[in-house]
Amino acid sequence: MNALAVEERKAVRLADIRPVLERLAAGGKLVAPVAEAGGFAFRRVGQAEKVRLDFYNTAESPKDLFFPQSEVLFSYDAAGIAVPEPAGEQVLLGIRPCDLAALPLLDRVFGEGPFRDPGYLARRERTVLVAVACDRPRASCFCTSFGLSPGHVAGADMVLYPDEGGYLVRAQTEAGEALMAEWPGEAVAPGEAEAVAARYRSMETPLGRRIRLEGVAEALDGMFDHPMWEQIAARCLSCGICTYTCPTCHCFQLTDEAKGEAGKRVRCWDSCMFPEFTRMAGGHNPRPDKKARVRQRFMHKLNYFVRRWEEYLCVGCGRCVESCPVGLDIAYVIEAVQGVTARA
Amino acid sequence: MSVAEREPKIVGFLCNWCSYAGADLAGTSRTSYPTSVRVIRVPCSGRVNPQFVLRAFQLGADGVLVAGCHPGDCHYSTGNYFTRRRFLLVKRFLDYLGIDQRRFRLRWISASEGPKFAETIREMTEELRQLGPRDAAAVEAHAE
Amino acid sequence: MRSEAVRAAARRLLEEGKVVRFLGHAPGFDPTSPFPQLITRAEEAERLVLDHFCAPNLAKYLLDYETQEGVTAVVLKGCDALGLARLLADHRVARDRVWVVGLPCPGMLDRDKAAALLPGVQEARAEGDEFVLTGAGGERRVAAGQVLLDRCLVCAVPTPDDADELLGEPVPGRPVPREEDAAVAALEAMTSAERKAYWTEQFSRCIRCMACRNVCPACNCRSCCFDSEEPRWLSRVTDGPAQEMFHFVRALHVAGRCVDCHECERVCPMDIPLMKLNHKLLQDVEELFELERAFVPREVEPLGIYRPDDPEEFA
Repeated sequence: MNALAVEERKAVRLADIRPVLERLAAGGKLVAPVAEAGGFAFRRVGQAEKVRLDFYNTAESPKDLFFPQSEVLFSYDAAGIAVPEPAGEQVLLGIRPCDLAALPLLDRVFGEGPFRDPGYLARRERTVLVAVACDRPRASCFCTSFGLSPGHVAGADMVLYPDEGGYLVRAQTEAGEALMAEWPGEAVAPGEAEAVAARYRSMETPLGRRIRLEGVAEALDGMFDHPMWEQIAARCLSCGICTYTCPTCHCFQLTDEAKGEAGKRVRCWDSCMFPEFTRMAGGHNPRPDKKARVRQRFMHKLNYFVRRWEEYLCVGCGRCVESCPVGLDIAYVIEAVQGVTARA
Repeated sequence: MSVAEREPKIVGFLCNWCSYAGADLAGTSRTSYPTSVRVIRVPCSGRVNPQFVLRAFQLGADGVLVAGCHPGDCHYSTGNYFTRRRFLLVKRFLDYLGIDQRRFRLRWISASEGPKFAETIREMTEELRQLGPRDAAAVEAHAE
Repeated sequence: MRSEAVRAAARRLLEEGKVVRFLGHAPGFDPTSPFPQLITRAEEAERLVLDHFCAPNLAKYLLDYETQEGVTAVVLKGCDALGLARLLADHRVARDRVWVVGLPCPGMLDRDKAAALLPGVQEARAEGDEFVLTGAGGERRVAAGQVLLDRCLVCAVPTPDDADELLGEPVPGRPVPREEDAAVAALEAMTSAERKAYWTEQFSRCIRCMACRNVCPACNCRSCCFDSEEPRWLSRVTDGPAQEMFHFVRALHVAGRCVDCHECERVCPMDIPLMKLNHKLLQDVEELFELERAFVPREVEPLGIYRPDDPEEFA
């Protein structure tokens, strides 16, 4: 990788992005937001007109593209063992700053330490990330609470900044520049591109104005046995909406699907909100009730992960705020913790 | 063997008291019928939970047969009346989900109806052969 | 709407010691999505609200207190009360351990519809057959039909008939044109292959979060076949056959038991039209077994009984 600073990379203005989308879609490698029943989703797209860059955050995060809900690790039959081919290349267009910020967190889990996840890393490696600066935060968005912003685009190969009715496109890596070389558009002076980027970086988010993280991890150090957990867990449905739509949740289970002499080992998402998550073979369950499970999820995100990696395991994407049918989302819990510290 | 030539697979849930004995009679009478059926003996057709049927389909069955005593003749007096109610719904629901109704049958076969059992299997096998595999991809995946 | 009334009821019941806990609703970040709130002390009553956005059905939470001491008070709308009736008929909850604070329900609003009609909507009040939405974007008067939840448009049971106390005068049910039947009929009119394609597409979005099961008052088994490791009825693998299995079995397990409360569909984060499955079964139950209002729980459920002269289609 060459060491060009982002500011020195190429930037162009695209009045009309459709020709670019058409070219990408024709290449068969494009994954982008499309409209689906009740919202948006990242899907592999063959026709450019399906791409919806006017989307708001997808119901599911794009983590599935790197850490699929079900992934065959190997299969076997009488003839031997077969390991699936590593994933092919893809261009993920339209990833938002919040989801982009979730990837380095997943990288730590799957890509650091003695056990590295080859499937995950291969998909990360082979994905070109074309981020879009966020021009439509929802009422539930609070990435700014985590020091991020609608203009936080670190880690993207290329960024689309919605600007003046079109897009200002800026490469951030060599891969981004390579992709951009095929794109039309008039070159933009570095200073102009930086001004647009800075404008997005200084944008606020609706819920971000309200959710304050100061002292939350520290306060939680002493709150394992706090009665607050009992109160807030009372309404939990024990469903997996929050964990499955979350861009940073990454728990999984392994399952063997066998029939006769053939079978496969599959890795599937799991959720700490399910009672079976910690149920042991003998029937004992160390997290027997909703209180223990709800506490685990939020302690992990707001305390354990911080202690281990010095970062919160949340990017403020607002999906749990939108989707939790009973309002037991992380913003609510952060405020509840702040409420406890304020009273103390 | 290609999917098209494949012998259909039928999973048959047969009640212990009537239909299983009926199948037995077909055998002891040397009545010939296709080898397409895999029999699972159940105490009563009322034991057959609809999820057994879907599970069979999921594991690669092309058709599912549930067979029990004639209404009124249940060894447990009333078990098959419940079966009938339940499968009136199941039959329609399978169709509603786009699973061809012809892949599922419920038949009343008594212990003395060996020929009816053989005929049922013959008919069903023929019909399933015409319909082809339920899900070619699933069949390939589960092929033995 | 009735926030003051529900606070007063909670305060009174907890102060008198008639109940030890009170299940109501409290405002969320977004005032258009209040969430379930449990309180145990009279002073906490201030937290409660009861407005036109209180859609969540609180009946299922009663299972959480099954083994705990004391009476639980719960705020129930007409539809929610059918959920309680379900739990009572299934012997999962004892009636004398529940105090029902009934809300004669004027209909709950669909927050997405409301937000589409008035972006930034914060509040709503009923005025005759209209609702007045207010919020950052000003005020807007809309017809009830534009903004009510689909289920409320055809509600036959707005007032709980088994309440220990009612917050207001009983409300008459709306005539039920059963528009859902049209949705089922449209699917029935398709070819088998088209239906298969339709459901495959719908089910492919399912992330198996189990929210539909967990919120359902009819899904009240102590242990669920979907959680069983041995035998493993449902693979965690989210491929087509497993998704079909899950949705088929979920719907059939509540066949003849579904109370038509639409909570499964409301909580689904992927907007899968689960009520099109439930309504099909509900219609068939009514038609085949000659029942009326099969969504109302009864002593013996339709599949727990038979008639010797039930339709014979099996020969």
